[in-house]
Parts: sequence; C-alpha cells; structure tokens
Amino acid sequence: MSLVGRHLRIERDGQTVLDDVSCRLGPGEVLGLLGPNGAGKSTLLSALAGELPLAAGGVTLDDAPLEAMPSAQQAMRRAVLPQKPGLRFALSVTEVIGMGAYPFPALAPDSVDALVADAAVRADVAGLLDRPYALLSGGEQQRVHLARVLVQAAAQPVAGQPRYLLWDEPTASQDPPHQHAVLALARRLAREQDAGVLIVLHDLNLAAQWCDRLILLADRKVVADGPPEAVLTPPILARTYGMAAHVLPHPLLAGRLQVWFDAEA
Amino acid sequence: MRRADLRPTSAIAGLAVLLVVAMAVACASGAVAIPLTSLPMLLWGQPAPGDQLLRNVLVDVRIPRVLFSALAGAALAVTGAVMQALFRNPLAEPGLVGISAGGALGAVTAIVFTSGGFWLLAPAAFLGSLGATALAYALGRRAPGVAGLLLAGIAINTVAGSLIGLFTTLANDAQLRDLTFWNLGSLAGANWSLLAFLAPWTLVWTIWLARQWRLLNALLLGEREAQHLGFPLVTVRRKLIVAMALVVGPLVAATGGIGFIGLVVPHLIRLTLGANHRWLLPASMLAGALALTLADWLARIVIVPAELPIGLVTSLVGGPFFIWLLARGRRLA
Repeated sequence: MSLVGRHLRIERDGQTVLDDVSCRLGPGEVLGLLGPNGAGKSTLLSALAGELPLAAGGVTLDDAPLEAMPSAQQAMRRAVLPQKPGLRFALSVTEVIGMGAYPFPALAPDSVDALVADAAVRADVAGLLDRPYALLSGGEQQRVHLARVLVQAAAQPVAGQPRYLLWDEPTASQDPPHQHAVLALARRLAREQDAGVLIVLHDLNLAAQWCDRLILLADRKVVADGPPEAVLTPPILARTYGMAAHVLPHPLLAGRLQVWFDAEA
Repeated sequence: MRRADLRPTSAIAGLAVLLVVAMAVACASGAVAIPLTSLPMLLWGQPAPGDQLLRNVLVDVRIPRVLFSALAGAALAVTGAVMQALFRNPLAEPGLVGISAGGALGAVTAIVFTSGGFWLLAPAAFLGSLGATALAYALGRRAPGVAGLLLAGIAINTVAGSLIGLFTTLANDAQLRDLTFWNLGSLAGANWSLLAFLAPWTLVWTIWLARQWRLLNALLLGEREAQHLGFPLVTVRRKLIVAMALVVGPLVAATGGIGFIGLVVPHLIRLTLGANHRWLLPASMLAGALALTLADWLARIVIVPAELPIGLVTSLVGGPFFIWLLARGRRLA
C-alpha cells in the first residue's frame, strides 16, 4: 500500500534530469518534497503522476505497475494539483471544481453537488462558486483547483484503497494564512481519510511545521529522506543550498523546528 | 432540475423552437412560393389537383434541402467546437485549419481519377480530411498558440488548393463543373437518397462527439490535467480526430467547403452560455443547424430564380466575425 518510485531515471533532450531516485509515499502521511530550483522536484512529481517516460526504474501504485494501469483507474486513486493550470476559459468556479468528479461518472449529480460544496468550504473558495473562473486572481484560481482535487480525493471512497495526492507548489501564490490552511488541509486528509499527500515546497519552515517526512533533492538525486529533524540539519542544508543554515527548536511549537539561512556566512 | 441547469436548458429549448420555425419558413419560400399555412395540408392532407406541383417541389426539393442544411450546419458547428477544445485554440475550425480543403482534395482526386459518384467521393474525402486533421494537429502542437495553428492551416490550405488546381487542369468539362462546386460549396445536391446515408451517419458521429463533453471540458484545463482526470490522452485524441474526419469528410464530399459555421456558432454560444461543453455542444448543434438553414434560405431568396453560393453567404458573415475575433486579441475559449 503506497505510491512508490524505484531507481527512477528520467531524460529530457538527452540530458538526465533525475538519476536513480527512489521514493515512497505511504497512506496517512504528508510528505514534503524540497530542493533548490532545478533539483528535479516537479520532474519527480510528474514521474509519480505517470506523465513522463522513464529511462530506467518503475513506478507502482499499491503494488501495481503504473504503465499497466488505465488512466481512468489511476484517476480514481490519485489526484494531481498542477503548478500552473490552464488559466483562461469561460467556466464557472462550480464547473471547474465539479470536474474532480469526472473520474467517477457513476456519481449522482446530487452527490457531486455535495462534494463540490464541501471541497469549496475546505479550500476557502465557497464565496466564489458563482463567479467566472477566468476573473479570479492567481491564488484564488489555485485554490479552485485545490478544491477540484479534493473532490477527486473524496469521491466514492473504497475501503482499503487509499488515495494519493500530488501537489506541485500549492502554496506558491497563497498569502501566509492560506499557506498554512493548505498544509493543514493536507494533514487533515492524511489523518482523516488515510490519504498519502506529497507536496512540493520551497518554504522549509512550512515543511518543518506540517510535514511528517521530507525528501530533499539536489542535483537530480535524493540527498536526504526522513523525518524533519533528520533532514533539516545545518550540514545537509548548507551542502544542498550552498548557504549557511541554522536550525533551532521552534520557540512555541514543541517538537517542531525552524530554519534560518545566513547570507553573511 | 438544478438551478444552474435552468438557463442552458431553456436556451437549448428556445434554439430548438427557432430551428423548427426557420425550417418551416425555409421550406415555404424560394423560387416557387408555398404559403406557410398550406404546409400541413400539402404534407399530410389530400392536395387539390392544382397543388400537386407545389407538393412535388416541397417533398422532392425543399424538404431534403432544408434537412440537409440543418444537418450540415449542426455537424460543422459541433466539429468546430470539438476542434477548438482539442486544439486548445479558439480559432480552430474545419475550414481555417484545412480539414475541409483536405476533404475537398480527396473528393477532387476521386472525381478526376475515378468514375466519380458519391460512394467513391465520400471515403476519399474522409481520407483527405483525416490526413489534414492529423497534420494540423501535429504542426499546431509543435508551435503552440494561435499563430502556429493558423500557419499550419495556411500551409495545408495552400497545398490542398494547389493540388486541386493542378487536378482541375487535368479535368474534362463534365469534371470541371463538379469541381467548381467545391470552391464555394452548395447544398443544391440534396436529395432523399443522399440524406438516407448522410443523415444517420453524420448524426451518429455528431452525437458521439457531443457526448464527449466531460473529456472536452477536461481538455480546457490542459492535456496533463485531462490525463489526471482519467482520460488516456493518446487514445482519446486519436478517437476525436478520426470522429471529426468521419463527420467532415463525407459532408464535404456532398456540400463542398462551407466555411465559418464551425467558427462563428460555437463562439456565439460560448459568449452567451459559457464554455461548459455539456451545454455548448448541443446548443452549437442546434444553432449551427439554425444558422445554415437561414444562410441557405437567404442564398435562395436574394436573387430569385438564381441562387447565391452558400459558401459565399457564410463567408460574408463569417469573414468579418473572424476579423473581429483577431482584433479582439487572443482569448482562449
């Protein structure tokens, strides 16, 4: 039971963009994917999403090889939040969120409406439901897609079949309250629905505060994989980001860390 | 009914009523005027001996022609809407992208090099359309955006047009008469035996396309997003392209190139009902049928007893609309 990538190598135009990367996303955990720009975070997410041809290695979803699983089945078990979804089309917010139910055509319209309403509240877009999607701000559009993915994750639950969620920089265009709300949502999905949530993040403090486990990528390889306190250490961070880092216990949240980079050093 | 469904369903019902009215008016008017009120009597009653001519005109000429315009309009509008979603490009349209020209090239090849006849034209036109659609899609993907697709369309139209021109020089007089018909399009070839094949064929594929509304909505988000919503991209793309060619090819074999219906109609529907294909496709179907019925009606009544080429009428309306779309700037549907 997990979404697993084994010894993944991915090439683009003859260049290796991921080299012998292995990772595992289990049910009930929030996994943060960190690393400098160009480290291969989005590429790894795309590989787990089944979007990219693999030069080596393989991806399995609950022990079934991804390439042998039809898209329709994958969509019933794994939802992907893209970094920059399509931006301009004349659909209402309700219609965009409702697309999360497309992998479940057997759902009755009333159940879809209920799922959409619930997801809209969770993603804080309930006040936007009747608005045209194209007129929203970038951050609002991103939360609309988050709501769409929540519908896909909540529709027609099957006992013993966890859902996997892959979110590519969901906090990128969000203000601080919404950044925390998004990550709190991920934790709630993991705890209440036993979902496995993989989140690409840049903010190490958000990662330290909300993620159960972290994978740090640098230069196309995995540098560290483990709980925040094992990954966020000054030597690892300095080596990865090329900058001196200080890791301190969080003054208010017991057991959590905070990270500071030191440009002077 | 859900509140959000009320507006589009009533719009679709309204379009259906308008279509029936327009079809009745189009049946009644033309070189020989038939009073609208006598239509039911001519169709179902016992016409007076003097009315036999009217009845023949109505049943053998007008009705098949009006049905044919409605059918062609519905198919072209739906194909245009589907193509705009698949190509993710608001300017995709069978005429502009060169799919009609590909179909015409196939048909012209069949006219010049074989004994002709619709049963050879239709498959030849299908193959021509299929080749052009696949080529436009491949070229449009290499250079994304409006410009890439339009350039692909120009290239395909040029190649197909020059080959059609070349074959024209090889043609004899009888073939030439058939060929000129492609340039401007015509619904004058409508008759019951043509309809008997083309109507079920076109309707089946058009309705199949209209049922793909979830897939087309998902494609609005992007190809990756469509895949993550459970649509296997490679397969569905191939199916859509083949289905569009199955609709447009035989239609072009029977009508020649009728431009701009596939561009104008879906745009007007989107402006009023939005881009949700669940409503856009059936509404485009009805509005396309309505538009081409009216265009053909105009073409027949403006210079009685002669008639304008139908392609001329649709281009007169569609050309300026196209210019307006370009001037308005890039906007993804």
